[in-house]
Amino acid sequence: MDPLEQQLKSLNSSPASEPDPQWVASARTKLAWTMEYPVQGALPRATPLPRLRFGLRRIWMTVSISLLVVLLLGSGITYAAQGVMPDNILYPVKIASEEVLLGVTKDPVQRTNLELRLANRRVDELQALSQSETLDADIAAELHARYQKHITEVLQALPTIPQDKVQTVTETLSQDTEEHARITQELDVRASSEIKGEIKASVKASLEQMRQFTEETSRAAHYLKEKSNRPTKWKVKVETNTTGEAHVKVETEMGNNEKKEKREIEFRATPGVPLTVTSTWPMIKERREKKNDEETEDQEPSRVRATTTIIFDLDQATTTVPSNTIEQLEKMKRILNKGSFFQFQSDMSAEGGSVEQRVETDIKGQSHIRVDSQEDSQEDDD
Amino acid sequence: MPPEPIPTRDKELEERFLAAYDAQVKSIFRYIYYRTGQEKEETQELTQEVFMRTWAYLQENKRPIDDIRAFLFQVARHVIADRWRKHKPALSLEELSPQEEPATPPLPHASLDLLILEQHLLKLPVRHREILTLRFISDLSTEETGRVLGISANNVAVLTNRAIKKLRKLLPTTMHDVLDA
Repeated sequence: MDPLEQQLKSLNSSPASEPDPQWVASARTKLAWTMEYPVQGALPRATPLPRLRFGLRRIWMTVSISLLVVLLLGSGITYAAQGVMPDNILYPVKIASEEVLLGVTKDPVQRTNLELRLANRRVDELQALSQSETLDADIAAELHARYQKHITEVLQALPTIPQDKVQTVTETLSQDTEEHARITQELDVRASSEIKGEIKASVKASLEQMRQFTEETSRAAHYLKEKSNRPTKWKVKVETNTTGEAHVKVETEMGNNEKKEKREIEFRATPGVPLTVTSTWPMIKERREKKNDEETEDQEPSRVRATTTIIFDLDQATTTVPSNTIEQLEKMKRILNKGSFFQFQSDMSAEGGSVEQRVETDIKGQSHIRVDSQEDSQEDDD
Repeated sequence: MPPEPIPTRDKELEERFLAAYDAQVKSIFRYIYYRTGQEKEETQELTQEVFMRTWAYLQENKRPIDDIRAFLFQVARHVIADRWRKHKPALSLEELSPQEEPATPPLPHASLDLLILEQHLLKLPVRHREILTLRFISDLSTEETGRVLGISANNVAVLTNRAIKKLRKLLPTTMHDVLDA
């Protein structure tokens, strides 16, 4: 075969064209959630918006009312609308003001909190209407759809939330959804005793859907909470000073909030001398529930190894390749010039294995960073 | 407002599609990466869109796709085309035209070769870049490539040859030594 073709084939394994493993996992989660909860909110532009009870297309309603909301902000009407129920004429104002708020909340943590608060509102509304015996099937279905949309937004946003915040978010989510499941469970009973005939049957069906959804979400949230209880942070800082020496600081954090382990290693890389630092960390393995035994929690510590190799060559530390084309290739593969600084963070896998971080400066003075992780069952020399 | 019925789920289809995701996500990513020359984040976003759109299609049509791999590549082309309309290409025209290569020192190791190859691949015209990516990096056969691009296998072979020649011309002379060795 043509050597050039051979070379092209080996681009297959070029780290530049490799997606981040973390992204691969999170995109898969998103895809799975989309399959799990195919709600209108998941694909906003692809599916037509459902019709509102007032006969107007909701989109126009929302647009015009958003305008109204903006105009009336401060006038007290939007404020007054916050307490209204879905059977009230002002309810679209309430929904529109929520959407305005969602529209301006960009921070993923704040946004998930907001979505969760709105989900709480929907459950409150459902409960209030059911208690005042004014719940009909349309409203129940609409509230369910809206609730589902809020929760799905939260779940889909989880992979984008920073590691140190995700625990709080999943905890709140778990608590709230547990409460939602409890409330909807009770509503089922109330609806069956207080609403009559056919209406009763359709309301019941809507509530049943809602109940199933809240239960499922509550279970999922519980699992996510457990999972996020074991965060692992890994931070490597490489700083090159003007004389060409590289300072490398490795910060690692293990365990949950109650039992946090932190370790910092700092060392200096001498130009031209390869340097390898290996640190080994005990990893908490996935908890296994044993069915036969009494509740024993298996916390087998396995080892994880992380290696940072720095090869820094001062004499060659000049860039001959234009930096913009290199930058284009990949963020992780940066040029470490004299006096430059970069920082990156990666999460280790929870299964136990080794994470290798390699910073290598080639003859042209470019430093390449590589993060490899592998399953690693046997003990390592440490 | 009557509720939209929650679509019935086809567990088997879901599992098969997730399996397709696992098997193909990297090669779709690579294809988009080399085809567009975009940053990694952008490429990831586009890759995700490919799978989301394909899934939406599967949901709507409810019928299996014979060759999911070729189909994913086709969707990827659409996604790229749509994005192209919205944004300017990442590479400027200046960069697209062949440039004088500065004299480079002897190449120390294989990974640097690849780096240089990567850069020059990105300088090729889209059509050539696409065919080389599909044929070699994504490792599709001439028939499969033809299906994705909507041309005959013969045509694919001819275009591949031309693209290889063009790439060879672009590469710095030092690289030729390595390749000829």
